[in-house]
Amino acid sequence: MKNRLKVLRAERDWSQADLADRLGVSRQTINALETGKYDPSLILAFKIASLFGQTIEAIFHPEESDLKIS
Amino acid sequence: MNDVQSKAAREYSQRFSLAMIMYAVTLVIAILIINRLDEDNTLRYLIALLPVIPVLFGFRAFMTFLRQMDELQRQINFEGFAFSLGLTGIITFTLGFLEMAGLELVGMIWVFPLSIALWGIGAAIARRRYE
Repeated sequence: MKNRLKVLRAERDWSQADLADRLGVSRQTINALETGKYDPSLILAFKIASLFGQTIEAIFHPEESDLKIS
Repeated sequence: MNDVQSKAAREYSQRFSLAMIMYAVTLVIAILIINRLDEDNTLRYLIALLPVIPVLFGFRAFMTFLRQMDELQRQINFEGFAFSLGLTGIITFTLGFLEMAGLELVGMIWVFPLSIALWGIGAAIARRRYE
């Protein structure tokens, strides 16, 4: 899943540590989220959306393969 | 690390270190006392169990830390535990068969250190995937 976390963070001039602090997670988790290696839980996604004042869909963009229903 | 996470890690580190220091102290005391007791004195068993108490405190500190971890850290540790459970089981089961066949092997005391080492390796492997 792709996301705009890095852009949103840069717009506010926050470091990964700053964002981690505001979300109550580790800096490593922010890094994994930004590089798309870890998809957040629904509650963490809502926290992120709330922090940036946007909807989850405006921040996270699933790829076609993510939405595939078998 | 942010405040909440680093505070939890710091507290865990302090509590666990204290528990391990107490473990070392009680272990030395237990060995000294046991060596002075007669071989048929059943008090030896009770004294031998003394170091288990600080270990339990260390275990409690770890469980508290686990609950304070964020979701990715928990995921990484979950993968580490699964890796350790699987391999510890396979290794000890295999050694058990060899023992049944008559091979004399190291004792039960190594099972726990083995599982801890494998958990660390498993967690490190999992962590790399999220970097």
